Amino acid sequence: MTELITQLIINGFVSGARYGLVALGFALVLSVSGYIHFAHGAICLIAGYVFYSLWVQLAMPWPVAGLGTMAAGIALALFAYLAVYRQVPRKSAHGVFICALGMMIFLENSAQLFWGSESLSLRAGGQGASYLIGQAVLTDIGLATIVTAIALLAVMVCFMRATRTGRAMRAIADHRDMANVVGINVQRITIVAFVISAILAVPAAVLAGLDEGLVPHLGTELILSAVAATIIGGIGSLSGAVIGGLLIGIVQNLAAGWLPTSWMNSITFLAMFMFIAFHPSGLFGKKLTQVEV
Amino acid sequence: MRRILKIAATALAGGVALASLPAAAQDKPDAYTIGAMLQLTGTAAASGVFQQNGIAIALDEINADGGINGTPLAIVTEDQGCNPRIGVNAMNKLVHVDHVPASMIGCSGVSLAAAPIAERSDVLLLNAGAVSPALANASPYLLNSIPLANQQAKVMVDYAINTLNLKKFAVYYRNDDLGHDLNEFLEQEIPRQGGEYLGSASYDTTATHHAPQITRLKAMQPDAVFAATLGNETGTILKQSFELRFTPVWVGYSGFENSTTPRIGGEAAEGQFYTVNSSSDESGNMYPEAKHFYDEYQKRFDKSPSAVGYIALQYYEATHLLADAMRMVDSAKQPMTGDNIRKALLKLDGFKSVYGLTSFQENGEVLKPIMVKTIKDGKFEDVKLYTNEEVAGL
Repeated sequence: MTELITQLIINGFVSGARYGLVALGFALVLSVSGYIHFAHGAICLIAGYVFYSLWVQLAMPWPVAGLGTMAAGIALALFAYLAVYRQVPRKSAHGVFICALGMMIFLENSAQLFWGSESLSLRAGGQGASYLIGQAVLTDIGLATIVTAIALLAVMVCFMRATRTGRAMRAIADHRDMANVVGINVQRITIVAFVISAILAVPAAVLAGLDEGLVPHLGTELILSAVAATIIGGIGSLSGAVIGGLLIGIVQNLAAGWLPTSWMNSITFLAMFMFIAFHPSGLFGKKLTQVEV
Repeated sequence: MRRILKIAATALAGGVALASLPAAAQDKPDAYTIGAMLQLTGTAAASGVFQQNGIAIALDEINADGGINGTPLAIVTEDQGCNPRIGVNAMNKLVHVDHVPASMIGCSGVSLAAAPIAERSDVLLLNAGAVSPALANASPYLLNSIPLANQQAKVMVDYAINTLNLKKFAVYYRNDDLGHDLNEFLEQEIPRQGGEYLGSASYDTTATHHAPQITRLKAMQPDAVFAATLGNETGTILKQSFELRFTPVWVGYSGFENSTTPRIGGEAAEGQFYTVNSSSDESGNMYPEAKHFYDEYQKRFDKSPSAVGYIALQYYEATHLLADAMRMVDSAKQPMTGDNIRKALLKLDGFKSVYGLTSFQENGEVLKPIMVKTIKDGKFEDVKLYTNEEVAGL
């Protein structure tokens, strides 16, 4: 029993870290721009496919493949913001949401057209290492996911506190109009937020490609968990997004030990709905008076 | 006056001549059209391209051979996304817009959803890929040209218990009609054959991360896990299981046979077993019809038999089966309806197909030899053939 619980907790940390990685980029864009950037999941997916093409098919060294992937992700993120979201009036909450959803569907179907429907993996079975914690197993990808999530969160926290751009982002998230008044270039800072979210998508995509493989509907899977993590962690809090992800991962996996495993996704959204109903500001978010989308 | 009478008489004679033409010649269409509802998108889309290619090869051969007794055969392809809701829309379109008398189909949930529509619309459905046990007796208008999962599972369990000496089984299944039905079947079948059913775990059809379920299966400590999975997921499941140091013997059915299983599974896929309808005879020689198909596939699409697997062959055969049945109906000068095509298919007793001798049964199932296969050095290899008689005797 102890071995089972230990393994489920370790699995939970790994899943949670993956959700947190995706949620980090999503939460950043949401807090700075107010846009529910659903297409972030599809950008993660496309980043994974591009990395596969560059690293596996074209056999480029991984740093070069990584840079190429970042460039592709940034291009897509900027397209999403400049060509799609910005064209919709800010007051039209439904319009932006539908555009974001439409972009996600478009990108996922484009990925299927270009790369096909068969599962693609960055690494075949048996090529990795694993470590024992007691009798429980932590894979090398699992460890890398946890470490990457914590490291990127630390980098983002330092960035938001210690850099001018980061402080500007916090100001915009706090009060957009006032940030404008004090001379912050809201447009430029928003663009930077989209660029950073695309950069953050790359490690999430690569780790997913190494562990789970790439399938066209992976983007939807990633973004739904990221949305739940962001809400649970608190809108406006990057730490909250990652911690929310970890919580979801642990609860999901512990539940899988006893409940039918087909309930796992339901548990995620049940937790999210409970937070919306009883604690809408989430664990670390600011108290909500008006939700801007 | 005489001239007017002459013209009238000529016109009357011409009308009588036209009316006396055989009715069949007036009713003969420019082409006979059937449907193909394939999984071109969705979670099972990896097999869609193989379905399409198998059908394309068969269609060219049929029309090169004169079509349906001189009338070309046309196929309208619709995407069903392996989703019953989309499948119903596709079925309705084929019935009400294209007016097809028959259609090929795949995916268990889609087939079960489309069957009632087929029955009330007099359209014959020929399932060449879905294997849920519930497809037997689902409808008189649904015939299955692939051994259903219960037939395959009987063979696999028999081989696992009596040859591999595995006794304790867990089941990992896809959370859809096929997975549920197969798990329920195995819950009875494994003890019936002398094994122990320890329990099961399931996964959502869109899941890509299987660690929680693998952990649960590992805690059951089975000798073997029966994977009621689809080809696109099997390799990932094997890989993640191996990386979590859970290494039972994985056994399965035809869903294993997909190029992604050894490609993604890698070392984890080596030495696992599954069943599939066999295109080789007892001596291990491929039937000539199957060899012809794989040679043609290689020529047109540049893929080896191992990369193609069985699904393309299934739909190639299904297209030929429907064409043969339609030729029988046309030769008998009967209307080309779903019911007449169904009766013709049931009459094709012991026909020589790409799998040797095959017969349809009244409950909609088909009897075909089943091969136990394994994965060795990244390739699918034959291990043991179960003949029609052996399968029926289990």
